Amino acid sequence: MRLIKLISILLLISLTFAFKLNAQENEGNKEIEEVKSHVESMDENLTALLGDVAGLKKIKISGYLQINFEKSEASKGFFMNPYDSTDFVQARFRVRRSRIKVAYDAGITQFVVQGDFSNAGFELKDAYLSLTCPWTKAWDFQAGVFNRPNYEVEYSSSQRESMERSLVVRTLYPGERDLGIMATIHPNDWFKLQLAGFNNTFQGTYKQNGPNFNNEPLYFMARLTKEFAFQDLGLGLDLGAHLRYGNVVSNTNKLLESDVATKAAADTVSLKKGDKVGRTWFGFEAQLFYDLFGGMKLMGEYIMGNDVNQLGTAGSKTNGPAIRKRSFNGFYVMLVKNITEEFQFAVKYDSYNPNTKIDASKIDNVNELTVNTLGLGLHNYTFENIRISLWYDMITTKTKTGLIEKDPIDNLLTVRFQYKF
Amino acid sequence: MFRKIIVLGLVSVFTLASISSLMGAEKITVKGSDTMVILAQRWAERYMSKNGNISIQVTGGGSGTGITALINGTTDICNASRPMKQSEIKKLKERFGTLGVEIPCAKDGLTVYLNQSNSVNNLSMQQLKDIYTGKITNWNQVGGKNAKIMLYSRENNSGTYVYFKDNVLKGADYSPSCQNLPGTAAVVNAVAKDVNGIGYGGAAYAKGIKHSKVNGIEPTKENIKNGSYPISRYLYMYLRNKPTGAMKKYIDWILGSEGQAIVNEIGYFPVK
Repeated sequence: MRLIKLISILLLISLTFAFKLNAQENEGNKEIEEVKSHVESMDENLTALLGDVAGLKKIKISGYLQINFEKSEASKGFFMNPYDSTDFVQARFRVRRSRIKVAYDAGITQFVVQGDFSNAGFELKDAYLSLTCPWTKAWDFQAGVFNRPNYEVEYSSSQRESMERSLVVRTLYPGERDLGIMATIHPNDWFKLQLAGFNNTFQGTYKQNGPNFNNEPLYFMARLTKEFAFQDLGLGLDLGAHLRYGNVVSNTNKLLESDVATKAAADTVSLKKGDKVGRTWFGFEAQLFYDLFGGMKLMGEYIMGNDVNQLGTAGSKTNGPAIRKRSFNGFYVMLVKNITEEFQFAVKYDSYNPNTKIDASKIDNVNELTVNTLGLGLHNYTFENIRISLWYDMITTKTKTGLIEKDPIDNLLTVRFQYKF
Repeated sequence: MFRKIIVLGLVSVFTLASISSLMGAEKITVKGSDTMVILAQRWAERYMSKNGNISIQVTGGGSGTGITALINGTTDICNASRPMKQSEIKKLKERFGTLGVEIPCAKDGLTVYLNQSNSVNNLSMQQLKDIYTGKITNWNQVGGKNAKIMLYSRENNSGTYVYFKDNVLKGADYSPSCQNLPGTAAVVNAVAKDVNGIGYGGAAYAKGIKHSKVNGIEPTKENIKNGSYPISRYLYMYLRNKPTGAMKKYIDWILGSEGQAIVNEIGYFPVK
């Protein structure tokens, strides 16, 4: 009887325990299910989040800031006071560049806009769309405002080792950019051919119009480049050429050819209003890269052709306003040598002869004197994103009796602090 | 006088900097490919254990990240599971005046990961392209069950992502439904959990999933080594300049028998 009682009690305890276990198991399963559903919902959220992140990654923001300290040796170095035209200083700080670039990169299409916030205020720099051929990837199309196809123009000032572009490039491509379209053909990177048409309406370019002429609505540019790499020798050589073809339309009936003085009474060419005068030039470029004790590069460009500029009444009293045609040439050579990972030394020589055809004795306009600049400097890259530069430009202007007796004292020292991201 | 001071100053700094360049510390930083990070860490550990005077710091981040670091001067060696692009070489030329030095240091087969329960065992190169570009969206189109194909890929800063795009997709864009994950381990993990998942990556990472044959060929060591497996690639180290001093010794060691034996240990294939 006792045994039956004991068995009954044990059975009862076992049943209770089993029931409890079952209940616990059910509860455990329920919790697992809950956790699983949480994980699944997190997974869904994560998938959605990854999609958002992928979308955001298409937006790329970059920019750079350049703060200059400039010390000119010229007594009238920099004009600083907008209310007093006689107020000049020899040294100054200035914000040279403060750029923000926003790009939306959707793979084969791209949207880019860039602005500059400097001492002069806000200025639009780039605003273009680009499209890459989705099938061959061998050509791109660009439309909007962007850099014109020239090596030094396209070489960003955040990267360029000299403080400014060479004088010839600054003269021919003021503001660097223009409004137009461009096709870039680059089959397997075998070569690169840029073909562009611009319309002289953007910033620096429209300033090249004068009261006695206007640029034609369109001008064309082409640039062909080819890169050669000799990996075993640690040597790279990039060669290229570019062309600018366009005209100005005369608003006067006088043209002064390159070989006559700007104040000449005779030897002018008669024009009809509406006649075209060529504004066409071409250039060659070469860049050599060599892995020599930390790397070096040697870059150069030579440009020649015909340019025009306006002569006001001061330039041609006898004939009235005339168009001045000039055959010009200009070049630069720059050597950049890395000394360590952190330091870089650079030396640059540039020359611009605004009129190659006029006899030296006939020059009667300071703007037609040859200017040569020898610049040398040092860059430091110790801190990530920051470049500190020390640069000294020695500027030599050719003298002309009665015009400029002595090379003006106008050398320039620049210390630049740049942040780039 | 002013001119003389400036010129003299610049020349002095140039000279001082040149002298300091000859006194480099024996510290090497390595950054780049996630595919190569285990291999690079093993190389560094083994080398440092034998050369106490040298410090080698290895981090991943992806081939694109490593190449950017090389261009910015923030790493000495960049590991990359794809060759450098022309645009990247251009940036290196602009900043350092060199083309960079490319050193193939291992060979890898890019394997296609499938969930172990997937009945599909073989995919052709064309099918892979169609799957990843979104033309094929259901497993029943390639002989599997009726289920939507879930695509897993690496992020676009990954050399593996670029290599797969260039060599399997033949330059076409990935399907928008493709989920980009940070690291090969994450891709393996996702496919291991997802019965309808497909991913790709280095063979050295593939645990908990199965490898698909490609064009009927299994991604075995022999097939990858003899080139019959269709998706194989070199793994590279990139430097800014020709290596000298401690860097040269380290590179020589990696390419030597000891370094290449580690390549085998990790699951890749030696280049020599």
